[in-house]
Amino acid sequence: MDKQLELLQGTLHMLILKAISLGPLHGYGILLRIQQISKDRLEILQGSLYPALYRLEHQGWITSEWGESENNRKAKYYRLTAAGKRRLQTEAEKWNRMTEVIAGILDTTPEEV
Amino acid sequence: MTLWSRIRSWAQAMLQRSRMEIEMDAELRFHIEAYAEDLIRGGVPRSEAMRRARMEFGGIEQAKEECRDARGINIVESLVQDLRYALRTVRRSVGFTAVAVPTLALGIGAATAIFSVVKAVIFNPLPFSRRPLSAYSEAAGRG
Repeated sequence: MDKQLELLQGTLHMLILKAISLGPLHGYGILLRIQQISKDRLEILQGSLYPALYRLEHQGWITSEWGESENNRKAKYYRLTAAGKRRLQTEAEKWNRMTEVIAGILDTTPEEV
Repeated sequence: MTLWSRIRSWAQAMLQRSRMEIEMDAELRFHIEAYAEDLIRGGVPRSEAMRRARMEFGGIEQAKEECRDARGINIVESLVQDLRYALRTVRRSVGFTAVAVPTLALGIGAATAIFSVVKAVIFNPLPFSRRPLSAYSEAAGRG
């Protein structure tokens, strides 16, 4: 397997919003879902997940409530708010534009300049 | 919307600080235990699993501190801490304080006095109905 990629700064928030947009999750579930979707190619520091979640909740992009986990334990579930949905959309658009521009720059050949 | 939720979450945090601590504790514990269970399912011995889950999580206390920061509830607390620290430092080095405080007092006082004069003489319009003061701006414009 390839070495895991470290997350780019500022992208964790976007990935969390995306993971939750697919359905409410508890913190551990968010970690698993991101790892599953990324096929384990991203390294997410577990300790950094919760401060990010608290920040997102503080911003009003996600809300939380306690519920039952798969194995009947109490767990805190996060879901996306309407503001969070909009935020995810703008972040995703910005990210796509950004990668397009950067890829264009990196692909430039001497003849094109 | 976001400002409101920010204020609300801050107020909640201030009022229910102890409840939040308990919840945060429970949340992190759930994470570590769930991860340990997954490790056990993956073949790690039970005794080893909890230890490894905790280790791989990283600094739990640090994560908690960052969570508190994220909520903004540390602002008041750290302000109080800073003030206390400042007072202690001031009390410890009397000589330094004896020089620093009069220096600041005189400096601020002098700056205020000079600005008061400048404001009265230059910035405030003179009580003329027309504006003979344009001499100032013309001179500045030509320079």
